[in-house]
Amino acid sequence: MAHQRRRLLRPLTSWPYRDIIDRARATPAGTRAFQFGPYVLLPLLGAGAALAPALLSTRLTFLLLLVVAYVMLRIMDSVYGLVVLAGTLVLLPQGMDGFERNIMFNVALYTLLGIGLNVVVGYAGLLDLGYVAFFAAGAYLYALVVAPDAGASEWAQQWDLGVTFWAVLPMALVVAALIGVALGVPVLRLRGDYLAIVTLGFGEIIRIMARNEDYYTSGPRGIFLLPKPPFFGRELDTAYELYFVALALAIVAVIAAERIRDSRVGRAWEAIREDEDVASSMGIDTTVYKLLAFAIGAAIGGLGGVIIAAKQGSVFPDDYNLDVSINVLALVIIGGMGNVRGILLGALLVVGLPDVLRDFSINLGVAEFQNIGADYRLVIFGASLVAIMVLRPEGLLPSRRRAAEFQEAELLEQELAT
Amino acid sequence: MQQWIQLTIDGITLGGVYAVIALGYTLVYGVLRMINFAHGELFMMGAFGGFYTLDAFENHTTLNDSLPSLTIAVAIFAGMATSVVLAIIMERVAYRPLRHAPRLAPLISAIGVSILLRNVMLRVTNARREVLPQVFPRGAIEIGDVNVTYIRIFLVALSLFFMLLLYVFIQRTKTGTAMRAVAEDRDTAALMGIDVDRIIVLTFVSGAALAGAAGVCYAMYTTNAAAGMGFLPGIKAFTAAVLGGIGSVPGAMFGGYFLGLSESYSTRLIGAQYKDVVAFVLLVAVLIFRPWGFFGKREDRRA
Amino acid sequence: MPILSVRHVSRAFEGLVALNDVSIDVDEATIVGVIGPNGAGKTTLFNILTGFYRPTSGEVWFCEARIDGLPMHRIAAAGISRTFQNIRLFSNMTAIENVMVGQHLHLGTNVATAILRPPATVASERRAIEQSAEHLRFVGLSGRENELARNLPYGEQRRLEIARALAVRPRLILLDEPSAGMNAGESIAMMDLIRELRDDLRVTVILIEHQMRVVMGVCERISVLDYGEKIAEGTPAEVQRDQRVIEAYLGTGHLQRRGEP
Repeated sequence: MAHQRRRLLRPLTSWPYRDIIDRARATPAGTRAFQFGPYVLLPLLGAGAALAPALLSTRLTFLLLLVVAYVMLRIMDSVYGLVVLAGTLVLLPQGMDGFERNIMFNVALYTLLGIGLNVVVGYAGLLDLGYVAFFAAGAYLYALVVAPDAGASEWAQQWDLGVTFWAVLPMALVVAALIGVALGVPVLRLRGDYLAIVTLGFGEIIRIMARNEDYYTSGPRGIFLLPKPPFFGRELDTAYELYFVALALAIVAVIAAERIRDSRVGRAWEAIREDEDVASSMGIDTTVYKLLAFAIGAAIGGLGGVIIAAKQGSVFPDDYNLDVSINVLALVIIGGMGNVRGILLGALLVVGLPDVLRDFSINLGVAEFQNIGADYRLVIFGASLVAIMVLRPEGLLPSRRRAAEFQEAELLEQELAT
Repeated sequence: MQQWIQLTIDGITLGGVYAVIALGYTLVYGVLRMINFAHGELFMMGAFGGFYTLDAFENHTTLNDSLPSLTIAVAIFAGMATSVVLAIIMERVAYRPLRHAPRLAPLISAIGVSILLRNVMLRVTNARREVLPQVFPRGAIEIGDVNVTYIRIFLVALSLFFMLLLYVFIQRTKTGTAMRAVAEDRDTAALMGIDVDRIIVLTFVSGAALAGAAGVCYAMYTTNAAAGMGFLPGIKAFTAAVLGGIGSVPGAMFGGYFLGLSESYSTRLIGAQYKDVVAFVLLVAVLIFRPWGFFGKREDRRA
Repeated sequence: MPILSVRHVSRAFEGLVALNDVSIDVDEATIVGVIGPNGAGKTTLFNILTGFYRPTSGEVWFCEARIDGLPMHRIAAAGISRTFQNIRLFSNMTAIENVMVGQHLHLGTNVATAILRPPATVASERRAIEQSAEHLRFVGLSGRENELARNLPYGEQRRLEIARALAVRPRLILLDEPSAGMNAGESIAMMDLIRELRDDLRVTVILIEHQMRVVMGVCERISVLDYGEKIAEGTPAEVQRDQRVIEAYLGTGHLQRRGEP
């Protein structure tokens, strides 16, 4: 029953014309086209995307971006693809206005966070619903260490380390990683659902503590007047400039994460994910590797925190709430778990789209829905999560491995249904 | 001293609510091995079901005055019905298709349902906090120097009643035994001729009915209902279920009251702002030191 | 000195005694069998040897060091690896990836070297891939490197499990029913492979098996368990003649030794 329903809906979400493509590929002209096509297509797409903001309205630009991103991420494979993509992302904000640039900053930031969470959830298989804790750690670290005179917390005012943004980045890596290990130790033995709730609890505990410990964190008043990153004599203070910082960090994170995944460490994670006891019997110290996943994921999250604190110029405890954790989780899942490409797409969908549709309204005659992006965002969000899980749980751009895992589950379901 | 008595009464009242919600969690977990993240929202929707019913009845003041118990009963049933209907839809649409999917899938789906329900109600109520018409008879009895209002007694009595009902149902009836069988070993139960799908739906329904009833009563107790009211109680009730041993009915009761009292006492000992943290800390502590809870079975593979 | 010494090991599970005062010594580079009716405690014994369980009492010594109570990954590092009764491969990884996991202990890549990829790391990774391919070749799976583990036919999956266990470079390998579900031809091939483990690689092998052909054919010594106790030990010939064993287990299988079971 269930699998019949999914079969029905499958053609809508997967490629129904795969046969056509395969047949076309078989012809001599077709083979050439498929071989060289992507090399030509990618830069064209990139150029189109870069030009779009100058020519189209915000919403249309964004829709075009989504489509282009999906196609590019789907067909890109090699270093060449990565370069074209990076180039596009660099050129993109040129033609954008402030509002759009701000959105792109958020997209870049959440992509960075997504890469970090992906290490924990996607590679090591540990469902973390409290990822915001590391994000907050990085942000508060910046706020406390950079210690502006006005607006700082009492405790921070004793210190004057005279560090800048750039020095805080590696500090955040270390501090966040340590917090990751600290939060990871108690949850090592927990399974799936329990792990999720406990990490959720940790995230909330940290938020509540940040809110209440006035002496250290200035409580709900927050810390403000934080300085911007210095850059060769100037200050980076626009969304445009900080977008590039976020983008650069994201690219570094991607490269680092993928390299780790393709190494012995990544294999150990995958073995743990598949069958923890067998992994242990192969000599893998599961405790160390789980903590490693937490640490690396946390470190990346911490980086994100530093950047947002610098951009906003302030930190408020209630900004670092469960919604952030769920947003990051959603973008990783919807984009395609375990797959870095999917994360960019996920970020565009989960973070960019709602902002773009903020004042979008539909009038159905019977009822009018105003400001969809703003008011109905979470309604659609919740429904999308359910829909994705039921219809395409591997996400929009799954890694080969994840697609295989979900295929295995589906085959099992079909067997049992007959 | 009086303060402590008051705190104890508060704790028991709250505990009763947590206990009833926890019963729902524990039932569903026992059968599906899954935490229904949206269970707290079933609680909330039940509260709204009761609210809209009471709102509709509000004009019939004569009925209210002469037969308040009827109004209350109707409201509670309306709340239960709302939750039950939602639970059935939820199970069919969001959980059943994912029964054999990797663990992550039903969990995320449940999170999605939770977000969806909460925000739909947020839109429907326009983020208002709805005030319930006062139907429950005011008045209290006196224990020592402290007033115990009728509604508190009602809440506690209701929770005990439900536990007894559930216990009898699970231990003595055929359906209840079937539930236990499915919880123990689903495939074998199916081989024995049990309609597993139906049992699962029934389990959901039972849990939802409990949550819905708790929702209405809690709304009457606090005199208001809001879209976000299910989130924290949901998590706390889960903590309660784990404390008592997930899958165990008496455990859920114990856990609920334990948590209620702990939370109440902590407002005096640590301060009200950390009240919510108590549940999380207890949860983490239990899961680290005694994951099978107080009434659960010790499940250890290793030494 | 025997390479493995199980000394008076007992294991109870809340009242159910799975193993009761079992002692077995195994010499290096020999093939030893553990047989017994279902539920006799054979797999429990393996689980204790690999560290999945801790014995309730008794000791396990390996290479003159005590190993009971050590975590599983430390026991693997000491040189013991195993296969499983119901195949537990990493089903969504390819054959060679499965074997590469087994190489874990012999690669030194950590997070830093993974990110930076110095030449030494790249070289060691390449060597590991070559060695994994070699392990696959040893068990007869050349050419199947990039197949998903769950798509492999049953017999190949069993052999892949052995290849993965070999990648750990064990001194002692525990095979849990390696020829279960195999026909006559496949079983003979498995027997050859087991002998090669001992002869070519100098690995000590302990074997749990139900197929008498295999047990009697490759094992040098056999221990017989029944209801958690060792009821006999000796050469295949001795064990076959042992009255207790015949009563407990072999039964008609003994009488039909020359025919098919």
